[in-house]
Amino acid sequence: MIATFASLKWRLLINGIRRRRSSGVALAFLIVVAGGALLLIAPSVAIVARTTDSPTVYRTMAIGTYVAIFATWTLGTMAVGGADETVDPARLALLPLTRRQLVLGLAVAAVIGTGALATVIVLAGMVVGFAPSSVGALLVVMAAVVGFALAISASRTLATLLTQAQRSRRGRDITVLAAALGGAALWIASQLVGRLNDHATNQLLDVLRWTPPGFVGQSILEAAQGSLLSSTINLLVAAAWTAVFLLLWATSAARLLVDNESSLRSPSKSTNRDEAISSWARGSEIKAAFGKEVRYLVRSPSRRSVLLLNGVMGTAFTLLQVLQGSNRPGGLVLIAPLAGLLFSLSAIDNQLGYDSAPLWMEVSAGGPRRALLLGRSAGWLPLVALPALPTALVVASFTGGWRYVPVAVALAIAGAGVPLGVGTVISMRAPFPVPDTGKPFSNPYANTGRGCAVGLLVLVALAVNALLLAPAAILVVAAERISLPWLYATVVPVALWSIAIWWIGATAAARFVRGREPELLAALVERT
Amino acid sequence: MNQVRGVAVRVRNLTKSFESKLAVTDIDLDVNTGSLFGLIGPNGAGKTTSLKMITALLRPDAGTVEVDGINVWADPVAAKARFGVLPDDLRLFERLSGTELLSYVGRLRQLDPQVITIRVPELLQVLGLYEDRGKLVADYSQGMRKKIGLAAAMLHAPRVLFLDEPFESVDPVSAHTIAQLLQRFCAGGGTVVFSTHVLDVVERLCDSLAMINRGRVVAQGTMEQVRGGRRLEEVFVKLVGGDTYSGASLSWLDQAPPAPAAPVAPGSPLPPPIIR
Repeated sequence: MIATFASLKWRLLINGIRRRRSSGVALAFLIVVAGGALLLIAPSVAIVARTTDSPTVYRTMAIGTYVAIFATWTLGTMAVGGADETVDPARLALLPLTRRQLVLGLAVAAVIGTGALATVIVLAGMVVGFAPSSVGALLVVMAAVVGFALAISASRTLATLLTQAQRSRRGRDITVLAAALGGAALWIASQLVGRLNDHATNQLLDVLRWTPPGFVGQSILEAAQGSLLSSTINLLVAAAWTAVFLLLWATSAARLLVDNESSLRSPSKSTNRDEAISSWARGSEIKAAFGKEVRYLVRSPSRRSVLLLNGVMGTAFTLLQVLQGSNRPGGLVLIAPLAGLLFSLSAIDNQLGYDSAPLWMEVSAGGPRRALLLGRSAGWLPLVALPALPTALVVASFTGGWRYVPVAVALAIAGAGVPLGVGTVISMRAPFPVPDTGKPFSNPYANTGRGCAVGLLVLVALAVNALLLAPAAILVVAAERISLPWLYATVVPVALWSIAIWWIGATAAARFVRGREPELLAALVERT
Repeated sequence: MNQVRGVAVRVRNLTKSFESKLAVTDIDLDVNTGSLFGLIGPNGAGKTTSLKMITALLRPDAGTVEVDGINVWADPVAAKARFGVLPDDLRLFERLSGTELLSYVGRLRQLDPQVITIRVPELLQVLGLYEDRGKLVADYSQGMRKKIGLAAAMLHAPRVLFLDEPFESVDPVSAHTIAQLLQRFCAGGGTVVFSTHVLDVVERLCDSLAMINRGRVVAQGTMEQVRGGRRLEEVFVKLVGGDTYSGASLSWLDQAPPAPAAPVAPGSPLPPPIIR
């Protein structure tokens, strides 16, 4: 059975590579670069651990590396959960397997792959870097083995539990949302981690040290310093955690074999509020399209993730720029309207790419017409305008510019027409599907061959937006120099200007697409 | 059968190739107004490709299509107003409820809000979806998806319906309802063109049909003309070919099943049935 699972995982790996043979040169290049970088990491870890004079760096290398390995495995699991046949036990439900066979087989499959290989290489560097020339070396090796087993068992437990959750639409929604929040938190953490001083780093390590991978790191530290008893105790705690994860894994995997169906289904409900919205949306094509987009923004996990990530990252990025400067006048709040623009362009410049599969219904009904495009793009308004509110509030709390908050939010809404108009044109001229993979951390543009195109489009869109927003920005800066009432007065011309751009953009896009509907549909077919 | 009042769908020399593979070659079709027209053929014959080209969802390499007298590719907007479509790979707005989806399609079709308010619940009621009208389409079963797709195709009261595999994944009661609905539609002067693998359905419902194989029409006409006094299945197998199973292989399937663990002695009473 072990050989069968090992063979299955190997075959899946090889077939996965074969499927991507079309980009063979790129893949070979990637393997060489990634492999080279990986082979550099292990010696780097070993050399830094052996040569550093800083106790903080030494501690960070031990505890931080194990926490990083653990986090990578568990987050990686969230990204591929359910996609790898050897990760998802539900795919094995029809085979006559005992629980022991199943867990043993899945464990074997888990240690075959590029992730496992990379981990072993890094762990080898850790052993070389920390192993003392005494019996403690044995403890360091054992800690590496336990650390590896801990990461695998925790990630597979999570994968199995997620698989259960991902069987239902609601479960997937919750997972995606949780993952989006987690991803945003990680991004913010990655922005802040470089700014930590020794004291803050040690405080952080004091907390991480009590996590399951922290016990492994602490065990290595103690072994390297000759405290064998303390090292052994920490190692035993880590091993106990591994056993707990293994038990959880075995239990949940066995349950998944007989319980594939989820009981999480949405109840049939039609509230008065829904009826009222439906009634309002029937009023015109713009309202209908806007109503549909807003419903999607609320109900679709991919849209919610975009909204959430854009809001959190836009706010954090803007705030980091403000904090970096020493001079912080209250007027800095006026940069808040830009917070929603930075991370939303790849979405609003590809308005048809999200949930593109049912577009045939709109084409079949004679669309997409200008009204439909205006309604659709209006649905993205919260993405552009909403981040301005938290950004304005946070920046105001640092600068004291509270009086600028209302006008900053008003300007964000008033000026949103410019990026939406530009986005509508680009969405028609360069549409591409955003694959609905259901994987929380997956890059929607990965393997579509369009990642580079997306990057270029965003740059072009940024330049065009900057050009078209320049008159509004000049007006706002000039008004701010005069007085606050004048600043408020700028909202009207900014809104008129942006509505005009929006209208022109939607008209141009509708004209462009007329007669090209089949090509639009073909461009939006998901390539899997 | 309905009285023939003219040609509702006229297709001439319709051709489409994907890279070097010819998917559809010089297809000619004539569908009379008021008829229930079946498009049959084996997997990969070109039925779906043909229907997509006829309904302006896929641009043909050559050929013309007229629906209700309008050239589909010369004036697609006017043509689309006259027909409804139910594609095979039914991709719907998953995050809308049944009512919301139909209301949205109604607005796209530029129907009056009052008309939408009347037609949507009526269609949902007839198709047995009224109880689930508030449920998201993502939570619909395959059969329910077919029915909501059919409702969306019929909402604007089109002259012609193009349906790709409308009976697939649909339970017998719903299939009966759909069949009645289509017959009612044709009796009112509408025309239905549908593709299917189920020959029994075609024999039972259709007055005329076309058989496609490898991208070409191999037979076309009224049901009687195509059958020529035989069963449709016989004609299909003869024209399409590909009957590869002779009955000689798979002899290992002939083994006797394993004996039960506790055989029941002859004459002993059967255990009572378990009814939960």
